[in-house]
Amino acid sequence: MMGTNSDVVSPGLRSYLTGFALAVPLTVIPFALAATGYFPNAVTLRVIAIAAIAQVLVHLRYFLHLSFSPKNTWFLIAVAFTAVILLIMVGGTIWILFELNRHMLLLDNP
Amino acid sequence: MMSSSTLLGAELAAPALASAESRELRSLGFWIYLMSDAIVFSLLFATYATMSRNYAGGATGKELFDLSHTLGETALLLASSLTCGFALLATQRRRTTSAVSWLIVTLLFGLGFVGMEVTEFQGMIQQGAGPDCSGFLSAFFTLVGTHGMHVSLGMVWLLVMVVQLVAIGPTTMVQSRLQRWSAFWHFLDIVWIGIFSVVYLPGVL
Repeated sequence: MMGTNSDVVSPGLRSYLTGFALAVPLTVIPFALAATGYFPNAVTLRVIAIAAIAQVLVHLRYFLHLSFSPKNTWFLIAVAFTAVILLIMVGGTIWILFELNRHMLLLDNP
Repeated sequence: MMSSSTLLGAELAAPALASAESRELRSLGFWIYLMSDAIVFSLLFATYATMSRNYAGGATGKELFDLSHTLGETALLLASSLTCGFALLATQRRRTTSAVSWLIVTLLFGLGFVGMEVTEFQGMIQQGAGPDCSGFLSAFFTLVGTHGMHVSLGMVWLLVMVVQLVAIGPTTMVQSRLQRWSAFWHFLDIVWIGIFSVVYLPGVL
């Protein structure tokens, strides 16, 4: 059943194993910090954000095999376009609604 | 690489569709769908971020979330990403038995994940913390539930690929379809990174 075990480690297999080996610590570290509360919350939140972004990049590179090679140009353009849309929509939503919340709180507690 | 054209001729009524260029285009088309799905999820994340403190006097994330449960779900999904890659590699080497075995392992991890999620949802609803309780819980169930629904549909697609591997064999077209399914599966694991980093971990702080 485990047909890949008898194979020489191919570039494809190495890519998945590397991705997995990088993803495990990038998962365990934020979970451990959140569970133990070892650092102040502001620090923990930054570590969670950095580990998440790093792990997303690891998955894109080693699991989805997205690289900056010419054959991926249109894939990367789609990613970049999505990023612009998200910057406007998600960034805008969070900016406007958090500002709104803040100003409403000011009205409640002048 | 294109030595399988005879196989393809037997498999497809429209062999012209099976050219390398066409497969590349399908891959790109599917990628654009994934990007649109990324926009859907990101807006659900934005909704959650704006609602995440609107408890309406009800339960908070700190009371409801169990990090060890979330870690278990994360482990299952990450392991399934790895076995999904193994299934794709086995298919590309035309090893049907190995590919089907890895797909079944992936399916079991996926079922474990969805099972854990359903257990969590049921537990929350029994505690009186259902989606109708507060803005926070509405946004939570919408975001996490949409992801769980995607994983469930991914498992249906996985079963379709198992049937195709057995019935058709690891032909170029089946490889191409399995590659798109694996992209979908890896994409869902990426969304889950966002869910535990935005919902669960900050929720318990």
